[in-house]
Amino acid sequence: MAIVLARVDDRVIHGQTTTRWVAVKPADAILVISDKVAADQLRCKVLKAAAGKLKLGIYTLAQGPEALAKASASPKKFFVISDSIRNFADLTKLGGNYGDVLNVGNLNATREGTKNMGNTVMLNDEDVVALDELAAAGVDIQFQLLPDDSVRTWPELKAKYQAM
Amino acid sequence: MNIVVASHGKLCEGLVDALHMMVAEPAPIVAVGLDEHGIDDFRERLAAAVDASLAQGKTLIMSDLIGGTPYNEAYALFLQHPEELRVVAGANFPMLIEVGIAAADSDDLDEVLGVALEAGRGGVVAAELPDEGYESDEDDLF
Repeated sequence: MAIVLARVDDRVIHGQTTTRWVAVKPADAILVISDKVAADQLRCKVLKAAAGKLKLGIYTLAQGPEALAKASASPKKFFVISDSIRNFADLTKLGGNYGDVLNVGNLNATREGTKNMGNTVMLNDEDVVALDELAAAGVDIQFQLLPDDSVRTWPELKAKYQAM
Repeated sequence: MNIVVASHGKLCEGLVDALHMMVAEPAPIVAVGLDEHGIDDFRERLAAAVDASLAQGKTLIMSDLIGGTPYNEAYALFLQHPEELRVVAGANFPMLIEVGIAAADSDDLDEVLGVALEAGRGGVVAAELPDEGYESDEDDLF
C-alpha cells in the first residue's frame, strides 16, 4: 500500500494537506497528476515550495498511470492529488491504479453550474457524471475535507444534489 | 482544556473563523474582542468568558499583543487564577492551529503553553527564492 491517500483538491497542495493529512497518514512524497498544473511552470514552482519536506512529482494525465505504477511498487508512501474529479475518472479509464478509495476535499473554485454541497464542496453536472463513472468502477468516494471530519458518501451527496 | 482568544477588534474572531478551516474539531474556543464599547465592557466580557471556560477546565488565553489592553486584562486574570490559567501574547495563526489541536487532547497547561510558543515563533518566516526552477524529483522520488 504505497499510495496512502488519493485526493481531489482544487488547491492541490496547501496547509490542510501538508499539516493535517500528513499527520494522520505519514507520506514521503506527493504525486500531482493534472494537465492543467503540469502546463503551468509558475504553479509548479509554488507547489514545490508548498510541498516543503515532501518530495514532489508533477505529471500529465498521460504520464499518470506509469507514475502510479512506480509509486505502487515503491516502499515509500505517496499522496496522489489532482484538481478535479474528472482527472481521477480519466486516470481510472487509462488504467491508472491509485487504490480503492478517493478522498474529495476542496472543490470550491469558481466554476459553471455548481451547487454548494457544503464543507467546501461545489459540484456540477460534469462532476456527477465523473463520480458515477468512478462509483461504477468500484471506487469508494469519500467526501472529507479534514481527517477528523466525518465522511460523506457519494450516494448521500448525489441524493442531496438531485434534490437541489 | 479550553482556549480564549483575546484581541483588539475582530482579529480574535477572524483567527477562530480561520481555525475552523484547518481543524475540524479543535478544543473549546471563544473569542473576545476589545471594541468601541471600551475597556470596562471588554474586561467584563473577558472575565465572563474566562469564568465560563474555567468552569469547564483549565484555560489558555491567547492575546494579540504584549502590553495591549487584551493582554493586560488577561494578565490580571492570570494573577487571580495562576493554577488553572495561562496567558500568551503575540497570538498568530500557526500558534492557534497547533494549540487548537493540542488543547483538544491535553489538560497540561504548561505543555500546551510550550506548543503555543514553539508554533507561534516557528511560524514566522520569510519566503525564499528556490535554488533553481521546478524540477521533478524523479531521480529519488520512487
